[in-house]
Amino acid sequence: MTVTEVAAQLGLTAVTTLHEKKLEGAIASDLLSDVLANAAPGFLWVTIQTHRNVAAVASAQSIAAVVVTGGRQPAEDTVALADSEQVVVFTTAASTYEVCGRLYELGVR
Amino acid sequence: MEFSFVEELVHRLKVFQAMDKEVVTVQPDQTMRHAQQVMREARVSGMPVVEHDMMVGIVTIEDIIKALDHGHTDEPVRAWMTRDVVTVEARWPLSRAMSLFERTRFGRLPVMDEDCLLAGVITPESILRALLVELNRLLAQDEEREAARASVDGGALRLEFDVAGGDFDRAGLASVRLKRELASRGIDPTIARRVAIATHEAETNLIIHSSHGGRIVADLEADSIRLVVTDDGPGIEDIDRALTPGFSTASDFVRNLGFGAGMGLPNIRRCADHFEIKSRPGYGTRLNVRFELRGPSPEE
Repeated sequence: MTVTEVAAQLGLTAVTTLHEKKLEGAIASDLLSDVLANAAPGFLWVTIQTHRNVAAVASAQSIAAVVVTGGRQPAEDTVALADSEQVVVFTTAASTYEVCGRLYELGVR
Repeated sequence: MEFSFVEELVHRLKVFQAMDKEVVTVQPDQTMRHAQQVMREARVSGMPVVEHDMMVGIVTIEDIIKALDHGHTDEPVRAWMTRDVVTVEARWPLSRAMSLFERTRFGRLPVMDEDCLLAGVITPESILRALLVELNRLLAQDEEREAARASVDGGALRLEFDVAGGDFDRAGLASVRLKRELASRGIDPTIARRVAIATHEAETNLIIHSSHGGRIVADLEADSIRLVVTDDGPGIEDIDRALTPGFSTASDFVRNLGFGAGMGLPNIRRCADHFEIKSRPGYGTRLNVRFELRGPSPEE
């Protein structure tokens, strides 16, 4: 699965420029240190956090894409930093639980 | 000739960046009495006269007084307005509008766009406002630049970051910049990632816990990357507990932002090849971390 395939299947809205990358796995967490400890490069990160640190953590971990769930909108500076770090950020009205379920079904494991 | 900072600024900023776009206008067939009321309500001393989207003149408080003097307040604006209007163009630099203000002594000038349509009104006050906004923006940029310095000493690169306590909006910026620097210098991405993770955690610790912020110094040497993180308080009471995954003294506010999971120091230790922490309650904390550029990484 790639970033854009997942986005199309789940109907995600991109708020940054898209970069096509193969997904190496996924993590769902709202704790930044948890993501810093347990994510890996090329991961998809599902979270409800929206502030700029999300982009900083994603950059540190070389995360491919972030999905902000629950209809939350990432702050402007989050989007700007993510864009400059080539991290794709999506938004969706679906909950973290729903997004993870769909991802698992799609074979992102 | 050397230009001062403000001179450069008024040359770079354009009229459209300083003009008021919400313009109060009257039509030429409306009465002077009406014009007077509009001006009083909008608290302006003059306004463009517009007919079918085209500006045909300008009417000022002085025109109103003249009309009042002669008892002609029921006459249309057309009869009293100034037809030969001095205008500025939206794309002009502010400096050109400013010299026009100085020459004419007018209090406001209509701004015309490329299609010769009224785009706004510019006043000395709106120019001052635009200058202050721009100065603020530049100062904020300077602060950001100030917080990071790079120097090269005998082939080794040193990057220093000042981290302000409590500034959650800028958390992670040092790690992002450091990772970018390491990538541009061809450092192995897996090592750069470990350095970035450790830096992010250290940076977050300074923001959450330190009394006055602290400093991160990264030295890129031939065979290793060294990270020294220092602050001047409050210090750690029990280092063993601080190193226990899940132990945190962070507030609920901080946790709601996604920090304070009690994994900061453990994460740093896990990423590093060498990890040393010294702390004295009431004095401060010093963290020494090293990453070997060769040899096996602790994660693999």
